[in-house]
Parts: sequence; structure tokens; C-alpha cells
Amino acid sequence: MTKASVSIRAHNLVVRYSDLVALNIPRLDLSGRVIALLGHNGAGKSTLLKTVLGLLEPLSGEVALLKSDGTPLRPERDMAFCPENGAIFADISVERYLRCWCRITRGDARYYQGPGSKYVELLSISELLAKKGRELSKGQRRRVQTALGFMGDPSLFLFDEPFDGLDVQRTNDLMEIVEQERDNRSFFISSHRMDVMERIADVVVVLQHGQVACSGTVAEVCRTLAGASTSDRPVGLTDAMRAHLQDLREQAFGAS
Amino acid sequence: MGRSFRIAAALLRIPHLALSLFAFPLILSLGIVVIQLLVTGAVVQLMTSTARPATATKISENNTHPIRWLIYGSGELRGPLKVCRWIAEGQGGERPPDQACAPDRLDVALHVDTPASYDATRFQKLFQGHIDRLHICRGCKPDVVITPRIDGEITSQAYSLFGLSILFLPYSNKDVVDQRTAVKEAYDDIQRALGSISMHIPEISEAIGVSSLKGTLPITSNIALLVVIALWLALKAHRKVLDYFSHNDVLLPLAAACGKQNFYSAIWILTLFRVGCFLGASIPLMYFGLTDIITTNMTMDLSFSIVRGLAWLVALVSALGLATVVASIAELKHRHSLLSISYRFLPLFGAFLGAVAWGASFIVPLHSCGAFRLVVSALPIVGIAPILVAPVTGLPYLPMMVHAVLAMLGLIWLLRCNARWFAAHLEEV
Repeated sequence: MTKASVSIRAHNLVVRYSDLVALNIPRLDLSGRVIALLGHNGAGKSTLLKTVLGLLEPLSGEVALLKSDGTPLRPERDMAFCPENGAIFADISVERYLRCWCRITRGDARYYQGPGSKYVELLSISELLAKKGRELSKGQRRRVQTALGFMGDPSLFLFDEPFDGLDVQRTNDLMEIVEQERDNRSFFISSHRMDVMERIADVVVVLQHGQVACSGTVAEVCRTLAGASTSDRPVGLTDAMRAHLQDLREQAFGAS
Repeated sequence: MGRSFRIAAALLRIPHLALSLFAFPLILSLGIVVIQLLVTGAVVQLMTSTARPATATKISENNTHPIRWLIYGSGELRGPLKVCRWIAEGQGGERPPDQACAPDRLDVALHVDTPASYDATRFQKLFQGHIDRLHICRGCKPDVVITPRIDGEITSQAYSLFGLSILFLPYSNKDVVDQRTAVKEAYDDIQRALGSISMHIPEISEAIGVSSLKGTLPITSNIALLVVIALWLALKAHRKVLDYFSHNDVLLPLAAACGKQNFYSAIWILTLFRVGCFLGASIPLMYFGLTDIITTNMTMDLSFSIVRGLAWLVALVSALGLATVVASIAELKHRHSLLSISYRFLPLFGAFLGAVAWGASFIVPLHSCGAFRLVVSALPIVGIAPILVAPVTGLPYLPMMVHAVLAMLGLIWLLRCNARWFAAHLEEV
């Protein structure tokens, strides 16, 4: 385990939306700098992220993110979150939002012009500062929210579908940023882009219908998804899960 | 808590929030308070004018009138009224009888078919001292034209504001005022003979002062309305912030960055700040406004107990607060349902049922009805009506305090459930 790695531990975790069981994870224990959450839409990825952030309360059980020394990470102090569509007020400028955010998280409205300016540069949002939220594209909104997240200097950055809708260039840029920052902090990324995640993730959790279909290092999960021998497959997989893994494999590597 | 204040202060710097949370609703609410005071003033004046000593209303004694002053530059009675019967000419035309009858805008015309023989005594009497000429003609047109029709119906047309004013002058004729004065004197006699009227209700030890209702009613209704506006502002502020954040997809990242507790505390601080601003501005306005209205229009001693007033205020705020939260939660939880708009009226419906049951118990001649009324008054939601009118009915402290305690307990329980529900359904907000 490296200095910046984190562990995710879940025990008998159940999260429900009314009658729908969104998450049901009897046990999960993984460590890594970049933890990837993979799965189709509705698999429970966003639900797990929000539960980890304390924005959703589980019906039973618990989930915790721990530092390498075993102390739990606190959402408001140690984590930052970038939702799928980014987040910015439509009617105020990016710069005003930056000031508001820095005032809240750092207690200094000008932080983004001082120590935080490196994230403004890193995410290339200087040219967006004068624009209002409504004038930004989805990708630009994400870049702004990512920069805002870095301003809080979190130990763990949670991304919800960060690569969705990005072109190749922007995808590579974001991957590069994650690579650059992985020495300083850990990442917990939900995505259905196996092709991207296998390049940057240390460990992967594959969710299906709110349950963990398989988990482990990228190599282990890739072996499973690529149709490794029966002995290498995760124990306890149902036929439905195997069918889902086959879908993911085809999506990630093509039908061949 | 310090962090929550910092978050609230940072959020307040967002222009849209500052405007929609404070500036606009504050101006609107203060406007409502001013209108409320004007209406109260008018109502109080109307209620007290009938009870004022008759001598005070004898406006015709000094023979001056402000309308005459406005029209002629002098309030004194005019000279003798000249009646001008117009003379028919060929081809349907007509002319005034002499030079002194040359028509003026401030004259009054009677349109009749037979000017020469029409009996205008009634109108002469009405306008004597108010105008200079009364024209009896078929088609002449000063600013006031009165048309008696064959079927007996009469219409009066005014062609200017001055003309309209002239039509109100006969109401100040001496015989009319004398009759009104006589009625008022009779009213005063009855009032003096009966003294102060009180009503006794079995379960209430103190009698209800019916005579002093003119004073307690405006105060009660104004304070109750103030509480309603404050709660409405609180409800809207809470919703507005949440809606504004969620529409911009900022709710989750902000809640995550601030910590859920800090974030919600910040929203409550904004809400309370908004209500505080409103109350800070409206209470002095209402205090001075009401004091002015009451002292100008009444001579009675209101004997409004401060302890009693405070007890009532606590019960009222907790009762209406609970109703507001019930309405808010019911609507929020079902906001995607077609019927969601009806959920906000749930507490209103409960309060209405309670009011009907409470009111009906006065008609039923049973001793147990007194106990029933006390129980209804003590119950949250259904007992809102008896609490609203408590200063008038002199409701005892016990049911008022039981109501307040039960409502506060309900409020705390609902807020805790509300917070848990919000935590589980943040995305649905």
C-alpha cells in the first residue's frame, strides 16, 4: 500500500430507493490509489459514490473509506466530488463561483489566484473565468468542478462518469491529470469506460444490479472479463452476472 | 457552527440568491404589511365611527363643506337656488328663459319631456345651497344631468369629477345629518344603558369582552398575519435555496464539500436570517402603525396582558410552524405526483375541520362541550382556529401551552424525519 492509497471497506451494505434495492454489498475490501467502479447504467455506481460521501444513508450496514493508516476519511475534509454533469450556477461567472467555493472550502476567496492557481492552469480554465455557467459545455463544466475539487486539496477525489461524452483529446487530458495527481491523492472513479479505466486504475470493482460482480486488480478483473479459466473466476458468480461480464468484455475489447 | 455561518455568508454573495432570498420578498412582504395596516385602519375607522359620540359627526352645523370649497373656492352655502325652465323653440331646439339662466358647467340639469310643467321641488330641496342653478330642460348639458324616467327610475350622469362631487353634496343636508345624529344618539343611549357587554363561556373563567373586540380583533388579526407571512417566507427561503442548487447540479458537490450537517445548518441560517430581516423591518412598522390606528380611533383601554400576549405568540408560532412544515414535507415528498399541489392544503383542511367542530360546540347545549372545546384547542393543527382567536376568547393558559408543547414536539420529530428523508432523497429535491 502506498502513501496516498485508500481502502474501501463495506460490510452488509444495503441502500434502497423506496422498494428498489440499489446496493447490496455483503463484503468489500480493496485498496489502491485509483479505484475504478465499473458497471452499466443503473448498476449502482453513483449510489455507491453518494453513500461513500454521506449524501445517501444506507438502510443497513456500513461503508467507509480509510487512509493508509486506517483512519477514516471524512467527506467534507478529505474528499471532493465531481458529479456527472459538472456543477456550476448557470447565472454567475466561473470566477465568481470559484471565489464562492474558495471562500467556503479554504476560507480565502482569492485562493484560486495564489496556491490554487496551478489547478486553474492544470484544468485550463483561465479562459473560462469570465463565462457564465450556462455558457459552458458539459466538458467545461466538469473541468471547472474538477479544478474546484482540487482547490480543497482532498486526499480522495470522487468522479462520477468523468469520461462520458469526452472526445479522445479531452479523455487523454483528464487521464494525464489523474496520472499527475495520483502521487498527491487517490481517486475513486465511476465509469463504464473499461478501455480508459484499465489504463489508470489500480483496482476495479464491477457492479451489476447493485451487487459486486467481481473485484480486484485490473489484471485480475481483465482476466475474468476476457474469459479466463473457471478457476480464476470470482467465486459465487451467477449466470446472469457472467452474462453481464461478457457484455462488459465485449464493450471494452470488442466482440472478438 | 462557525463554518455554517461562513458558508451562509459565502452563499449570500451570489447575486441571484441575495436578490431572490432577501431584496424581492422583503419589499413584497413589507408592502403586504403596509396594505394590511391601511386595511386595518379603514376597518377600525368604520367600526368606531358608529360608536363615536353623535355630536362629533354634526358636520353641517357650521354650514361649510370641503367639496364646496374645492368646487367654488368657498365652503359656505351658496345663495338661493335659481330654477330655470327652458323654453322650446322650433325644430326641436330650446333656450334658457333669461340671461341669468345661462348654463354653467357646475349647474345641474333635469332632463324631462315637459320642462314647463315638471314638479322639481324634490330636487330643489336636495341641491339648495349647493349649486347656483337647476336647469329643467330636454337636452341641456352641464356636468351633472339627472334623468327621471317615466317608469319612475332615475339616473344621474356626471361628466367631470367636479360634477361627481356635486352629487355627494346633498348627503350633508341639515335634515339628513340631523336624522343621522338622532340615530347615533339613540345608539349611544343603548350603549350607555347596557354598559360594556361580555359573554361567558363555561370553560373560560374570564368573560369575553364583546365591547372591546374593536381593539383586540385588529391587533390579533395583524399579529397572526405577521406570523403567517414570516412562516411563508421561511418556507419559501428553504425551498428556494434547495431548488436553486439542485437546478444547477450544485447541491450534491456543495453538500459533499461542506459536509451535510454544515450545509443544512447554512441553509437554516439563511432562512432564519431572511425571516429575521422581515420581522426586524415589519415589527416596528406594525407597532407604530397599530398604535397610531388604535389611539386615533379608540378611547378604550385595551388592557392587553404582556404575559398573556407572549403565551399566545408562542402557541401561535409553534402551531403555524407545525402546519407549515407539514404542508412543506407533504408537498416535497409527493412533488412528482399530479396531486402534489393538494398536499399543501392538508393542514388547512385539518384546521378547518377543527374550527367547524369547535364552533359547532357553542350551539350544542351540553356541559361537556366546554371540555371538548378545551381538548380541541390543545390539539396541534385541528386547534389552530381557537389558538388564533385566543386573545379574543380569553382561552386559558393550559390548553394554549399544551398546544404549544405538542406542536413543538411534532415539529422537532418532523424535522428529524425530514432531515433523514432529505438525506435519502437528495437527488429528488
